[in-house]
Amino acid sequence: MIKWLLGKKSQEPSKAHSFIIDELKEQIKSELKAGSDLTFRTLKKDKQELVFCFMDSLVNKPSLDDFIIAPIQKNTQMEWTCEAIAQLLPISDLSAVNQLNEVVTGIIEGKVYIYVEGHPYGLQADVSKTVERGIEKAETESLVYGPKIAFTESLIGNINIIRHNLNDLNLCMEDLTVGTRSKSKVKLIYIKDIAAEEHVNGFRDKINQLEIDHVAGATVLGQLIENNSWTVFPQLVTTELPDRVTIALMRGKVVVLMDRSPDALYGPTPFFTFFESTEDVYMRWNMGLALRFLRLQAAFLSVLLTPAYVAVLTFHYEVIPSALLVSLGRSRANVPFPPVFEALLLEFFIELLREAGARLPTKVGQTMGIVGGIVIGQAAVDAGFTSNILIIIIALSALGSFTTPSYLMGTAIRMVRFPIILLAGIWGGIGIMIAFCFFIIHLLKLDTMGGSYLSPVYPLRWKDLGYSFFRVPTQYLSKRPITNHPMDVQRFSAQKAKKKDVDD
Amino acid sequence: MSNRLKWKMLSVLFSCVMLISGCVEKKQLEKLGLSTAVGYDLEKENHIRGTVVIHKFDPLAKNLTEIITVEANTSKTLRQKQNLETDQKLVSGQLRCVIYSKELAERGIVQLVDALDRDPTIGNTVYLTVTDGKASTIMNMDKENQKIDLGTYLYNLIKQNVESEQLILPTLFEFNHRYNDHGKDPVLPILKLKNGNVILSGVALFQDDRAVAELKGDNIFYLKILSDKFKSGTHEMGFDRSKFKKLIMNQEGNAFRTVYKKLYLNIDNIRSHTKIKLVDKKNLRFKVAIKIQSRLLEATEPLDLAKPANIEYIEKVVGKEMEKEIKKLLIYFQKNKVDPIGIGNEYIAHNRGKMLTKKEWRDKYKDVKFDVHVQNTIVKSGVID
Amino acid sequence: MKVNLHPKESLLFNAFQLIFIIHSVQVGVGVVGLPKIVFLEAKHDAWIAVFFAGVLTSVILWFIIMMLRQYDSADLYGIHVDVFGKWLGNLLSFGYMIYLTACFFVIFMNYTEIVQVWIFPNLPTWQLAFILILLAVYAVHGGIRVIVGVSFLSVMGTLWIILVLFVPLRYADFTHIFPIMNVDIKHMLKGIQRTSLSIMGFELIMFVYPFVKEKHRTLLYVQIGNLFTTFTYTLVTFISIVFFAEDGLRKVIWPVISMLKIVRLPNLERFEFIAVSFWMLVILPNLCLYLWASSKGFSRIIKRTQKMGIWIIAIVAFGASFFIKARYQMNIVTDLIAKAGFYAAFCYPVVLSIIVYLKKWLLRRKKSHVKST
Repeated sequence: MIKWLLGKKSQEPSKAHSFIIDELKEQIKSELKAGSDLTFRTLKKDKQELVFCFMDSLVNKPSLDDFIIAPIQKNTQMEWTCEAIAQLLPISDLSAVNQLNEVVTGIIEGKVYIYVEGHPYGLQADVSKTVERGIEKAETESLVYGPKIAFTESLIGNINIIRHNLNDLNLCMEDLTVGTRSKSKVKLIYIKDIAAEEHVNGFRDKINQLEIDHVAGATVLGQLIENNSWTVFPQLVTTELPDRVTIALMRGKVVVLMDRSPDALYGPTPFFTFFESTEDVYMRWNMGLALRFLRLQAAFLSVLLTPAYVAVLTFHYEVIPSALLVSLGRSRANVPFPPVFEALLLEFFIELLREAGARLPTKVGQTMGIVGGIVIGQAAVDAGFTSNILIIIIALSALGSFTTPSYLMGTAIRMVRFPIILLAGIWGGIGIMIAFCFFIIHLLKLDTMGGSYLSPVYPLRWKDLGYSFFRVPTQYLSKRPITNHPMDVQRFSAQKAKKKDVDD
Repeated sequence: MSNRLKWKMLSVLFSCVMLISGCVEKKQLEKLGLSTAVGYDLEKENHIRGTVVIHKFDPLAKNLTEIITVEANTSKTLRQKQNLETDQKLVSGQLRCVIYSKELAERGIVQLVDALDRDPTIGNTVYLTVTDGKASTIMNMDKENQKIDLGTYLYNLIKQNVESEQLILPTLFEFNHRYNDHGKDPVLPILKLKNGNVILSGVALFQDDRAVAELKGDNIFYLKILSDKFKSGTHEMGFDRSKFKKLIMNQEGNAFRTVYKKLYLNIDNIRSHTKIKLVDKKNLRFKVAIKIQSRLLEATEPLDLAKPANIEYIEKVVGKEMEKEIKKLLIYFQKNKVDPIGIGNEYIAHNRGKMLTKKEWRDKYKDVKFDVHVQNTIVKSGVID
Repeated sequence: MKVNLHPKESLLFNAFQLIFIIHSVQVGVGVVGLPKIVFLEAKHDAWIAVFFAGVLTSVILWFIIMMLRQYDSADLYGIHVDVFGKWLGNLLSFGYMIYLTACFFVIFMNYTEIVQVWIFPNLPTWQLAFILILLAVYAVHGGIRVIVGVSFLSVMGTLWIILVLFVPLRYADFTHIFPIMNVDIKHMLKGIQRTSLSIMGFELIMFVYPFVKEKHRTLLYVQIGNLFTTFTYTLVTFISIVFFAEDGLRKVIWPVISMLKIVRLPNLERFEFIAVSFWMLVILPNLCLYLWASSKGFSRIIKRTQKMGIWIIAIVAFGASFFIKARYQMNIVTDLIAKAGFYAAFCYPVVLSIIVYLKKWLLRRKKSHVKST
């Protein structure tokens, strides 16, 4: 089906529709089975008969009335031929067709088919309307600092935003389609002389090779074209921020936009990309650096803190310093469960709170947080269900996982915690270390669009560290990240940006 | 790797985890009785009496700690017997302080220390101490109310004194280090009960693992100077008033009464550096050169410190006094055949060929001669002249 | 079998990574006991012995690289066939495979023992062995790219332990190292030999070589890696000597861990628990590289898949772990491997490289003879 849409002949022999209007109506009705939605409007003049076929729900009524029907009705002198009508209509997207299947697909897409009886072909005019919401603030990736605009479900609108952000002649947008049935429009966006050909080809081939009836959105598309689908770690970033996409494009990444999906998908995106926020770029570099480190540390602690608690309290009581010993022991003494169970229980509780808060409307969600966090937490400690130190630790690790800018990665981090807690409960510190080694190997095995997932740390690329792991002043970033294999490496001339001497 | 294989591996891993969960011995903190201090007394021949302070986390119990005393031949049997007497599993991973009775210390404690070394759960920074009387009396001193955890209390007491540089570090590894070194002997602090409180009364000097002598008061300061790089610590010295006649300021108008017969100076050691050097291999002559930078904290009489000459004079007098005391101390060590400063190490380090054994060094030690030089500099004298 | 191995372009790694491969494969379980073992022979000059062992290693590495340079892109399996012919060559390769498997075995068994002594006295050996083998198998399935990554991250992730080693220096007594060079040559040489178990691993360069991208820079990076190891080992031995008293160092079995016992962080009382756990990351690249190199033999010698080789070796090693019951048995095996390692890693490559050199030289002479006549 994809081939057909790319302009090649379909397997079925095409046939012209009937030239008699009543038969044409029947043909279209039997093809579409759309019920009352399918509308026919007939005009008669002299002996000529003219019909407009369209889907009521898909066309923009005022423009149909004003720009198609009205001019034809008003021009009484004119003879109704396709050529004459085409000259007359103030419509930009106008084509002549006579194949039945083309007519039908046109009607589904929201076009109006204008046919004068007896003519060999008719005209198709695009007056389609799409239902879309207005442009709003980013919700899932909310920002304090920087542009607030977010993508919407409209592909054209999204392209409009990107084009305005990036007035580069070399910005390419390729049309692709996915879904053998849904035939969603997909745009492959890249900057021709920056993005590496291998990545563009990789994306294009993977999307073209997809044999699936329907793809629900860009996020799903991302899952379908990733190389490793078993892992918890996402290998491609989805974002709703146009500026993030723009920055990615300028660094040589390839972006995929999908119609009816408010997320953009881009790659190649190594592990550390998921901890980057556009705020790092907008802030001064030193604050950006500090915040990025804070985030990485938070993610690390979020994974490690609860297992460490479990390991220490179950096996390694020796490592507790005497100052902490009393408070830890006292708070644990009331708890009837072993530490593993206690920790899993509380983690489960926090996950429940989060999930419930996400499902409920905003106002109720806030109340949920207060009820869950404060009331139940306090009650749980009083009832001797958990120790209050564990509550602090769990809250810290939950907070830590929420600092990750990518929601997908944040969820992955939270999920990864559970097996580690279990291992810590079985083998203590050794168990944590086993999990740590496993994840190191696992991350090394992953790849994102053929590139290493741990880049730029492994393989080590010094220059790229300034983009992802650290954030350095802009004058040191004269080259685009090598991880993306950009064709045009230079961002600006490092020579020209050289520091002046004193008194120069 | 194919996904099938990966699944297989994951399921194998998971099943093995399930299979063996619970195979490792669990030591949940709240179910343990943590022994924080242990005391050993010599009961009679072949018998050791062990007392242990146990820290428990029982929410229903009034007392945090419990004290158990049993008798046995080895320290591990002691622990087993003690374990029988408590409802919680006794572990020694949080051991902070070990007390040996003087009686025991005089007989030698190495087998008890060795047991501490062998146990991987016991830390290396456990404090070892000697007590004047019986270890069990110290440990039972607070038996009625047991408000404090004795182990932690002793730990803090010693730690505080080590950190303010009053004591040589009495940790397990330092003891081992000194005991195992051919030319150095261990030193441990002595605890004493006074008015119902545990205090530090002095320092026990060991010959190998046997306590043979004791140091008190001032001499600990000099021992500290000799053996460590010393950063702080105050010291008081008394002099005849006649020596300072020139320096004492005339108090015109102000009534000034002398309370003391002597003149006392209190000196705060800021930095000291000791160098023990073998100058004459054949005659075993060592040069002990000490550089002290100090601060005058207190003088019992108003001294005129504005003149540089006066300061120099004080420096010299104080230095001389120190030299005398240190020399006395070194001879005291020699007489008791203990070498807490590590003069033997210095000798071995400069002696090529076969390494000296401990015994060979002890034989040589009694012929050692010392030249002591103290160079004292008073760098500050407070905020007033 | 082809002498030269030409892997896919995407599998090649930068010569720069050799620093990490060599360093990570050298540093393993051996280093925690190294100071004591060498001290028994070379006394307080052990650190000099260790340093000389490092220098010796660097000379041997030079021999190995010179040998490898005679070929386009060959590994030891290929060289064996080229030099000794199909049968003898493969037999030697097989012997080397057994040696590599034994190293793999000794590494995880020694680590298991350390864990048992320091943390879990009643942890069954096979459990931890099983997990460690599984981890190694999982990594080796990812191929050389993943293994190089593991060694890189392992070195980067454990560098900070060197900094921690400076804490014991605060309690050091520097008189212990004097008089310098007091020990006689015989004991010094013995000390150097005793270092072999800890410093070996560099022989794996003979297997990794075909996968290096810039082959002409191998020597430089291999030497840097070895230099780094030598520095670390000398430092560790030096610190152990000044920290422990003579009789004390004789008594302890793992001086490095005993030394770390005194390290205290404000929120962590006993550092050795962390260090012992963390050591798993240090031995992980060792396990991976040895398993990889020996399983490579399956695809090189008997034309089976390497995957099969990995599983066979894993199962054999796991099975063997049941035969070791007590500490003294493990000591015997370790000593045996250390001796084998001394011959396999130190002596054999030198001999082989001389043979290769002679052979190439003869061939060249013959060729020029043919040309001139």
